[in-house]
Amino acid sequence: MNFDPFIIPFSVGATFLFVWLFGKLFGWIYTLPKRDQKKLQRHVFSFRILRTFGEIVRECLLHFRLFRINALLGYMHASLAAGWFLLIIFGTVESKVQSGKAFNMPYDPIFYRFFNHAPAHTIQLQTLSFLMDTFLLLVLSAVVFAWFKRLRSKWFGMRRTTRQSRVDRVALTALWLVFPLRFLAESATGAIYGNGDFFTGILGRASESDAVFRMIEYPAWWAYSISLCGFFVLLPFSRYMHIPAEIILVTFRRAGIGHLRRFSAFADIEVESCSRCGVCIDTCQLQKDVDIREVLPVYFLRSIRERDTNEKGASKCLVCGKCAQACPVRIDVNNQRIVQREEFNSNKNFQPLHFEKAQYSGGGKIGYYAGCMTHLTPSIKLAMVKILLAAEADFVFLDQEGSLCCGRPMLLAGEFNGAAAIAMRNEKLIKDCGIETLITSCPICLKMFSEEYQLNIPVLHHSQYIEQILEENKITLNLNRSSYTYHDPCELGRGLGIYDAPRSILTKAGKLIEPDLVRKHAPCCGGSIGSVNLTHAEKKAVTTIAIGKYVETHADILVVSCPLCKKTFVGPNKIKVMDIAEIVADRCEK
Amino acid sequence: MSAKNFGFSIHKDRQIDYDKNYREFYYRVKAVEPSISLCISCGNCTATCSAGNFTSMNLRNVILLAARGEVNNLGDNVSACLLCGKCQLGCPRGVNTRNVVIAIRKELKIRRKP
Repeated sequence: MNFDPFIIPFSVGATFLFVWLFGKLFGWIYTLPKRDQKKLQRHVFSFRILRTFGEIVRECLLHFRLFRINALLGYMHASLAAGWFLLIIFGTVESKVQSGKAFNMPYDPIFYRFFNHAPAHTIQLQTLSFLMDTFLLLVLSAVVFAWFKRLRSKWFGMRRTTRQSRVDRVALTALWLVFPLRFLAESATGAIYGNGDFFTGILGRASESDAVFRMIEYPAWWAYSISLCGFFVLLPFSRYMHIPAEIILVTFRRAGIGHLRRFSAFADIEVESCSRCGVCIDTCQLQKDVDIREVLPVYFLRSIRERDTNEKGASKCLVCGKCAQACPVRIDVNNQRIVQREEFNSNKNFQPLHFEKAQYSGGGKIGYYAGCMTHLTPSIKLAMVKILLAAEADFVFLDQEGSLCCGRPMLLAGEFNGAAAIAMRNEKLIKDCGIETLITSCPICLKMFSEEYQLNIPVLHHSQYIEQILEENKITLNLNRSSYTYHDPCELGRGLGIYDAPRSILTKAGKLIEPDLVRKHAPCCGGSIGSVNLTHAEKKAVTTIAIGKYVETHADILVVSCPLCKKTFVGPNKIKVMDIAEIVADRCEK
Repeated sequence: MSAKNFGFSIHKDRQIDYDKNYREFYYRVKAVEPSISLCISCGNCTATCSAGNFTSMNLRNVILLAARGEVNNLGDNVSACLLCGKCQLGCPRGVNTRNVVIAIRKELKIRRKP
């Protein structure tokens, strides 16, 4: 058995890490609801697990999503993760082949060169030795890139990067030291015994005498072991917890486990999976336009993880979802946010009134539900009625006499009980009307109807309905020379993935000019009801900057498909703001 | 002693006594949502109110009563609020009405607790 005292730090660190991680994993599975535990069990013991492995390799090792953001950033992470993984795998194989035994000490591959001085004599060992040097070179290149990223983050596609906490910095230093020290230690041993390969043999070939190497060899192996120990011990308390947590997150997500209406094990795994890479920082409008840093998911998730109260971070956010779509780990930041709001809400058992007086009118196949916000922008509902009449649809205006709220604003404010009660009441009111299709003008309502209600009928946004009747030639548009630019509302675009219906209508109505940021990258108008306590001035700043991008396109009309966006954007602008229904109503011919 | 019926009645005394009223309430809410002090009682919020369409919810009144420290009748009124945010869009002064309601609900609960 190979032994030297310097393996002790490594062994202690690795043992601690494994015990900690298994404890954590057990805790997570234990606190899952029974239903989710069964889901997980069914998933792990089925062939679907192979696809999960595929995703783990793609995302946790090769970091495909990061490559899509920036090639350098992707290379840096992929070469570090995959390189290190391959070092472990091939190192294990190498040590087993060399010793000729299937079982050896777990630290043997880590300190292989120290214990085996004989140069590789068989072709297998030569190949393995060559591969090991290649992987070490790959990992070291990643470390060099990581150093370089500190100086020039712009080259990696990031204007701003995360301000790391102290633990993270220490762990980062340990990680950065591991591979240069390994290189140094292996090179020193290689120089003395002449067993270094093309890379670890460089130092040996470069110098005549090995006196220096004899002096540094032993301390270098010690330092290597200590830096590994430091990294392993700090891993559970630093950002590097994302390495094991992301694997678990991918598995849980693939098993169909999601957020609950409280801070659950799944939410905890998500929080631990945040690597604080900082990709979300550049997307956040509150950080860019009004310099509120607390809302940034990197810091917000960190404050959750450290059980720190960050009420500002939870409540100021617009819940536009831009950070979530940029996140390479696909953390559902929006849900994290509203769950935290619920945690801060001291009024958890709040029950709203029953609203006996509320009543919707029935008697038609298609129900048009304007929603609260549309009642505040009457031109949209008038336009919709005109379109529905033109299409000769058998429709009824459900909430002509005023609507009850869908419940989403309450949900977003973290009042889950109230939201559920309102949603139930509203669902019953809609069901009682006996309609077959529901059309709504408000993306906020639409999101709530399709995700929280059990209406069992098709629910459409008015843009989808208009696209449908245009295709069926129930109405036609007379083309004119107006040029349009289109704003993707958060809830409709990122929230529900409806990007094409409004665009297809606009290309039929005139010329569509796209601004710089479209679809999932589109800005929030700033009026979002997602924010609980963003001040008027802050909202205004976000709105002004957002609309500026549309003014730059020099289009005649800024088209929106959300009454709230319209209400937020209208004002003394250089561009006219109209809802898509108004555009169609103006141009439609039977 | 029962009051004699003269065929007409007079209103209950509506003197607003700042010494007796719970004016601290207003300052506590204001600490959470400072924009409450911008309110000019124009009533735009009440005109747009979804909940006010079906109930007696009246945000203008709520803020006015809160400012006077007359908090005893606020409960029913604010519990009708759906937080839909229409009032916020209607407000000419930029009061963050949603958070005003949330803050009042929390304060009322704290007060009821002791």
